[in-house]
Amino acid sequence: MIPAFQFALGHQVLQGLVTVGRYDGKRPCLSAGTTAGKVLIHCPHNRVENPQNEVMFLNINRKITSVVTGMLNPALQRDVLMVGTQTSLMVYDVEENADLFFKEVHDGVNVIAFGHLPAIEQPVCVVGGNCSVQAFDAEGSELYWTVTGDNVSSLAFCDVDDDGHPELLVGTEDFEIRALKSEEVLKEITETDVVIRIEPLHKCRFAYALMHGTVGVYDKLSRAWRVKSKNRVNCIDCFDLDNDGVPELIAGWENGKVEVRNEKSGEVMCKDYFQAPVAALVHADYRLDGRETLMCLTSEGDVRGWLPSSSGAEHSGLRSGVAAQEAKENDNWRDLQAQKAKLTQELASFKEQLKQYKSDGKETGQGVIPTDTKLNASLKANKAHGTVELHLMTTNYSVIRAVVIFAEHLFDGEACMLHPLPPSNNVIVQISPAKDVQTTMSIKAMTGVTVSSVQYHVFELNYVMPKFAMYHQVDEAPVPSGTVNFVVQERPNHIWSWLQRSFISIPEQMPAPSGANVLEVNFISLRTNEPLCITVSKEQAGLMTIRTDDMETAGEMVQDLCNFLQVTELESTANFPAEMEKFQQVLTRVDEYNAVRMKLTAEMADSANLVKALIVKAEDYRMLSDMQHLKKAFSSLQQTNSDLIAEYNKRANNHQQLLAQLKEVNMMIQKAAKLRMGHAKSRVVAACRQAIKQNNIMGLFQIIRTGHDASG
Amino acid sequence: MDVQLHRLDLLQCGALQPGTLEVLPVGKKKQQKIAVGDDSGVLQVFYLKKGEVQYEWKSPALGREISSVVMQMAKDKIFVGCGQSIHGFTRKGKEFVKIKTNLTETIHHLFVEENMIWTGGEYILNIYDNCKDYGFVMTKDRINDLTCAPVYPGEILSTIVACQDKCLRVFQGEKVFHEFAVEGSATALGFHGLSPVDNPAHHVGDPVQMIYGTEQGVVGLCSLDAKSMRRTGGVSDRQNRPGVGSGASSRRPRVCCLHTADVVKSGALDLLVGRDDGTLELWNLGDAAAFASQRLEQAPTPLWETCLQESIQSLSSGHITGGDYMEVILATYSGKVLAFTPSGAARDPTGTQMAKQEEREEAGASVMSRMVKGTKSSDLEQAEMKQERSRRFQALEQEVARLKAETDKARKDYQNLSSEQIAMQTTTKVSHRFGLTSEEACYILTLESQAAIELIALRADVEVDLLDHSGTSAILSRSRGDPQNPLLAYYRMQEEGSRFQIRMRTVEGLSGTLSAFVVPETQPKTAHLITVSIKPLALHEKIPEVSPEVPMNELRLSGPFSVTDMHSWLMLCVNELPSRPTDDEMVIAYRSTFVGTQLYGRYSKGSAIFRSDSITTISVLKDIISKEATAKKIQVQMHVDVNEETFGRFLELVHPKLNYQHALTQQVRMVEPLREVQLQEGETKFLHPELQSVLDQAHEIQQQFELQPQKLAFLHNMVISAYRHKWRLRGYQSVDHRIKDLQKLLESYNLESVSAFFSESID
Repeated sequence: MIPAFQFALGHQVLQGLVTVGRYDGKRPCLSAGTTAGKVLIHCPHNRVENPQNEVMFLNINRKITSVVTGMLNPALQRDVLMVGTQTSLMVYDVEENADLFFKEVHDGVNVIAFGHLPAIEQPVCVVGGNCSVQAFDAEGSELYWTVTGDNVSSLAFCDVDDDGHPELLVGTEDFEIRALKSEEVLKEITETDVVIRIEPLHKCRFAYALMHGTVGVYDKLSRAWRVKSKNRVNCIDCFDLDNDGVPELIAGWENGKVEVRNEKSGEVMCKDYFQAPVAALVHADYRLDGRETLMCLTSEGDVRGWLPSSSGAEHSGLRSGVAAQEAKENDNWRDLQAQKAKLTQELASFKEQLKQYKSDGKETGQGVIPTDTKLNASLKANKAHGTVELHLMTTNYSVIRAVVIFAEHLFDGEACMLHPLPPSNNVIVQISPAKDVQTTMSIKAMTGVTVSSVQYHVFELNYVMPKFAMYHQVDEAPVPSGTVNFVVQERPNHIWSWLQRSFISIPEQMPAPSGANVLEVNFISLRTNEPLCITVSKEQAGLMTIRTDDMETAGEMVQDLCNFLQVTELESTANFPAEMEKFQQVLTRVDEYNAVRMKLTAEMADSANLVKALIVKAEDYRMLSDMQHLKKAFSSLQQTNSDLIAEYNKRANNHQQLLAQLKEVNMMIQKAAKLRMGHAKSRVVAACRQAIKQNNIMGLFQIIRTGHDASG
Repeated sequence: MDVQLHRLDLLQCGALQPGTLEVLPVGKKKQQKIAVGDDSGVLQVFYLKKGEVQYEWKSPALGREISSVVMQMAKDKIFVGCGQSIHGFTRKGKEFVKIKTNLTETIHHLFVEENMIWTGGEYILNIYDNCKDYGFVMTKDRINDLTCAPVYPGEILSTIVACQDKCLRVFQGEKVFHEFAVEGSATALGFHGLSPVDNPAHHVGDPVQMIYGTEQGVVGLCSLDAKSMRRTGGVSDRQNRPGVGSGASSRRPRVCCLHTADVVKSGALDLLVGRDDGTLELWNLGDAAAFASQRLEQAPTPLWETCLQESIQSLSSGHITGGDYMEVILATYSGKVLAFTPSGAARDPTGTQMAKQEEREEAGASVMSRMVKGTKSSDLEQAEMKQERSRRFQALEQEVARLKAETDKARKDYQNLSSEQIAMQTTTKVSHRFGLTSEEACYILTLESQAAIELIALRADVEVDLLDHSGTSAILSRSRGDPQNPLLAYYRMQEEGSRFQIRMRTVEGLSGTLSAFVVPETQPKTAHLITVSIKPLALHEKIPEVSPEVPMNELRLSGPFSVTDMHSWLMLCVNELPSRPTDDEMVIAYRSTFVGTQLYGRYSKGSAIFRSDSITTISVLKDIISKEATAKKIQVQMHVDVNEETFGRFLELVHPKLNYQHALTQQVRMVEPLREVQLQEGETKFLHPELQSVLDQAHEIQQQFELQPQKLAFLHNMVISAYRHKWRLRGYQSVDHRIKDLQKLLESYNLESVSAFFSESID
């Protein structure tokens, strides 16, 4: 890759906080968040007016979390700068040097996206905070609000369902990517780590990056490919570098590497290296010559730009025309050659096996291990350890020397390795999934004849870990107080097959109904030992009840059941006394912390005034050469200063607490919504938000319980 | 000068051993043929015709894997080493001689001249005259390469042997004439130009110009005659590659094979180096005349390089494609035979262009017309070429489809026999090498497989630090270990590759084994278990001798043990020992690669003395020997002299490292706050010069620190363990109460205070 231009900003650039805006409607300016709460604006085209100063700074004086530009107010015909901090959103018109609006955002601003939401005419600034997503228009009025499962870590717009209107994609810290259409969740995808970045590719495809160094592409909400690296990925961008009409995925890494990958296959097309971590990748017509350039910024403030396909064909492997055709054919030829070599080898291998089998293996059946060996796998619950046990066992005396299990979500890393000592023909793997997710475990078991073998057969086995594997079926369990009731018009054996799919150790045959219920199963959670009961009533047709004290689990089960039965609309009533009581406390605490905050702010203002007074005094004494009083003034200044710092710490602490509680509130709304499906679900979110705004606690409780507000 | 060499894939045979490819001399035609022998035991001779491979002949399977192939130049005969026997073939493929030797070792190296045959095994050099034993030498360490040249006037040729113990040895018959110490374990030998045996211009007594390669990647040039052996130049092992940052390790891997040929047609011979990681390099040695005049005038310059991702086993050159080009021929581990040619026609991998060129040549086209080819070739020719090209494409596609069908059938057949496709025996070769790099003080386990590796699972029963290194995209996952398996980890390969390196560092004083399960991507799927032992004094490397003026601690042993006993006990502690004692009184000298402390040992039947300036080393030796002796029920008397002076020296040796790491750790902590100050204030002139320098070098400091995050802790542990061992050898079992104080001292590091602490008495 040969860069088209290269320059240094001379200032540090924070990771991910870079954007390009046309603040006067024409000339692009690179804007980057830098240390000490400043935004750096690099405007090379203003040189004529202001030859000294290509770079200017905006003081935000708070920790910047997101920097985005966009034409938020179409009437202005120019981009405005949107800056997010931990507690506020500021929209600033750089050209006029004026704020469009400044808004305190209680849930904090983790990430900002600019775009159009369905059913809202004007462009909006979408803000992702702690468990919430809100959208503001140019006046700063809130037009949209919804909750998510955890802190929002990335936002993007992409038309994933191919209906011509972009959906909002939300990546959160609980490893989920959600596609939102208005308030409705189209799909939830569970990834393997925090989703730090989502970028729309083209049409229904989008690219994503995870915290631990995975980049990949989704096509219509199913994964097209992904690659993992041991380095951390800092940023991704989608840009058509080879001029073939399809953008490539460009990834910038912690170790200073920039890779261009084919968006279809994930193959690396070319790469470049920097001396410092890559902070951001952006593209814009930065030289105003009508061609978009890809720009890469490092954390040290070095900038490099590339033009599409100008990037030196021979060096980058990107070719064009006849040469490209030839190169492609040559590559094809080499591929075919490689395939031939591989097949020849495999064929030779099988022929050799057959020959040996026929010559001496027939009687003994002895290969690396007996040739009729099989590997059996089963899952059992282990109540004592609170884990799910995976039993692996060979059908004869051959021993399992080592087991490697690849599975997402189950282990700390992406896999788990076991080396049992002494080796035997059965291995028990203790697994305790932290989350209720259905995963496929890909098991590789190395099996040999004895401990001293040097060759082992590798059994490859895929085994599904059901979503609710951590719930162990028991005959009797104490009845929990929390319940959720809903009606599903389905035959009980349908529900039974859902149980079989999502839990472990469920017998094939549904037991005959006894007592008041058609169906009754009891579980114990292996994590907390808390009971959980699922019943279907005999009297009221299809009335299903899930009893548990954990509202979240109940919600997960309702969602999973509805997916299985393909139910799209579901109303339910819920009663979770323990959770509600906790929620009540949370709300009280929110009030408390708010009150404390007010008080502290007032006190701080007093101290700040005192500081001013003291400085003036000290200055006076200095002029009068009254050293004694000067010293006194300064010592009290120091005192006040340390008071201020202490106050600040208190405030910061209080703020943290407040945030945590607000997150709880949002999570509660999310949990309540998850007990319903379809229309009822989005209605709960909207109604709850309304109730919170009006501070209507009773109303809020009723919505959570019944799914309707007082009026409905 | 811009050199372009094009790759031609000639042949895919079974896995190959080193030195199993030869280019046949020019015959009736200008075009040369290639002989190659693989692990299936078949020797095949082939040539290129119209860009396609044609077999001249194939030998029947010789029963074992072929371990060496050589030419007897003057007589056009091919000799093959295969297990313990030697086979001789004529040019036409007739086996005219077969010798079954009474050797115990596999014949890895072979040299034939007239009626004389030299063979080299693991440790033994044998000479045969008319198929009868003539001489026999056991070398001090492993033979890595062997060749012969007329150095001494005498009836037979002299033998040059590259040995593992960092020596080139020259033998005349059974007698050693030269022992020439080189930079590292010698791994490859070659001549500059033709082999003197085949060079009619070469007279006995003329100096022989040789090239050698080492484990550390150095290539050296030396001049050898009856009186002396001199180094005349070398290719540095350090050279930055374009595109790779200076931070990345620029060390070059082990040299596998060497060759010289005038590839770029400059009139002088170019040096070809084939390396362990698959790098093929072409170096310009400058003027040929300068080379002969004992010293290289200018440093060699790299002309061209490529990487094949698997180790290069043999390297040669010749006119293969029929053009006027001198082409490079090489064979790789997995059995690929490749040619690299400067001919532009080879840019087309299908070989169509090459065929065309050949045709023209046959038609008697002049050199001139070939030169202008491409610019003036007629449309007709173009169309013809296109047709031929597509025909070749189709042929290959059909072949692939046929193979696919056949493979599917074979798989199904086998599945009928064994439903889980359990292999009778693996057909993929997997080999490994485990070696120390002294500059990084870490071990490198190199795994190489015939097919692409899918995953590697690692397990060790001692603590092993797996070091991250650039140049691999494999994903490492560690599992929580248990007391029996402190290390459980696995590598998942992301890019296809049949070769993998794992870097690791061990804690000195612990011994154990490391097992690696290597799973290649072949069907039926089998895993290969590779076990290497981790030795308690693993970070010690062999040196020629210890420096005499260093103060030493001493361990004296006496008892009814034999030399072999002591040797086997030592084998458990250190690497690089020969497999059995070579003298009645053995002398060893080692140096710790990390600290620089030394170990000297002298042992014979009934007594042994070990000296080291590191108390830890002595203590570890004592523990191991007493444990092993007890197991063998041999009563050994031990006496340890702890020399106070050694601690001062030990601490001084560690001092530069500790001091540097200490300062680095301090500086890293300051970088971020200082940067913020810089941004707030705009200028930093008011800062202390020391802080300013930190700010200036912030980037390097951070980079250095990232390279070795655990190093300070590692060094601290080393000092603490020296302290522990000091008192233990004086009879104090536990000094834990003092360790805390020592740790505090180390935190606020200062050489004097730590030294003082070491010499303080306890109680």
